[in-house]
Amino acid sequence: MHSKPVTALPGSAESPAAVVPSRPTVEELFLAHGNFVWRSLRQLGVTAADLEDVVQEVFIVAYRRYDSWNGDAPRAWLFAIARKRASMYRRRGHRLHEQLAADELPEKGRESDPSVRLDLERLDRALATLDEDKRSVFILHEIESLPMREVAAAVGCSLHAAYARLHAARRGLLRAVSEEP
Amino acid sequence: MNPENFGLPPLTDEEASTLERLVRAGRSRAMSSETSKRIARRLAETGASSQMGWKGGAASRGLSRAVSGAKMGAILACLGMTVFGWHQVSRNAGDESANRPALEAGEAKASGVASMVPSVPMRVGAGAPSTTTPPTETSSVEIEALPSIGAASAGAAYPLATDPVRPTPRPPQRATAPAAVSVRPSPARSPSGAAPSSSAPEPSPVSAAPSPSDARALSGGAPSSAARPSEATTEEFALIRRAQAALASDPVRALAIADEHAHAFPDGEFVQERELTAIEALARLGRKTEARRRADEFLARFPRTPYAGRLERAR
Repeated sequence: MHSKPVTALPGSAESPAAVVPSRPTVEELFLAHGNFVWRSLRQLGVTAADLEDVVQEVFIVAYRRYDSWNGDAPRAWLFAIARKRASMYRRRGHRLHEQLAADELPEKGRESDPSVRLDLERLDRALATLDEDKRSVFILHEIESLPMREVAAAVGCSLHAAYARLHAARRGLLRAVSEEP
Repeated sequence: MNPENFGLPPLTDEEASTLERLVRAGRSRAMSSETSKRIARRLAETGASSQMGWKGGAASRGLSRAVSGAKMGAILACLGMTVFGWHQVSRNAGDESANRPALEAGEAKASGVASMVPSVPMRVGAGAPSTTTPPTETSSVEIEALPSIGAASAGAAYPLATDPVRPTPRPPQRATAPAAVSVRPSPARSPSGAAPSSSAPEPSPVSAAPSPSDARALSGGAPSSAARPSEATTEEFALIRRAQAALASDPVRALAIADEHAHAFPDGEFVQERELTAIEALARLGRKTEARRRADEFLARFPRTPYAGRLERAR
């Protein structure tokens, strides 16, 4: 059938086993980066109640577009899809799930800690004041620790512009936080 | 020029600490294992699983064999657990008998697969990443029983009762995995299918069973969770999910929902998923000529579709 050249990945050199260099499958992407997509979507403004659906959308789109992915920078690739889905989501103007039962909070762990939850609420409110470009750079670099070069590629701007956005995002977030009562 | 600061004053300590605090909170977000299981299962049901490619797409697309070996082992292990521990709950006796042959085929296949799994529990450690990205993702998805992806190969992957497909499972390998995946055996589930989740009344035990009638459990209007306002949304993806959920039990309805989608979202993001569902529905209804024609149109329009294998089976 359609044979494709297998992408040689630098990371494979570190592998002790004789592993055929290859791209991760969509399940592997989900296992490795599901939480990354989850966090990113949430911080791109998808409400907790709808997060699950939108995460699923992202990975279905990823599955379908898998062939067009060059195998590099999986998180940057997934983020580009997530950003688009989140943007569509915000434009819908309505939420799929209007409310969430109290015992059904899809988030876990430290978020049950009230102070962390408070911080998360502040973070989300502050992020919401940023435009999508700045928000994306902040999420990818600050929260997800992606190198700036990869961030720039993910959001489709120059490295210089990415730094400018990062700086503006930091200032914007601090302003938003400080203006809160 | 230092690109980092643009000549602007650096953050004060207090500002930096405020940001750090928010960032740390943001990083702490993660799915619960219940949630990740649900999503994995839904992905499988929708078909976004490379295991679809056992017969078709993925294998020919040069996907990973070795790298996915370890995880494949985990998935197969869980598939085995799924079959052994969970019991199909029939919600519709009529459909049950209709789907029985395929169910048996699925079970036979699944047990065969399970027998290839050497040991449960197994742990797939954080091996060399198969990507170019440094493994900074610390919180890999936590899945405790992976009923979902297992169900993919058994149920969603072979949706046609008339066409049970033999799998070609690969032996599990202790190869490297792209991320730390910890797979633990699920506590024994009661055979009656007691809900393993404390969350919404989702039919997860049901859909874990390898049968095309699984989807019935998800149908009946609600996309998959009783927590949502069923039928209340015309949102694109919700329509696709409803159509897919109806496929096994009520292909006529699946077809109708697919038509609804075609009218509402002629150029939507999920056109391929809609067409696939419609074609499978036609095949189930025995409308083979229409199914074939529509499949041909699909392939002409999306020659690189990852769903080629499923289309082939539906023809």
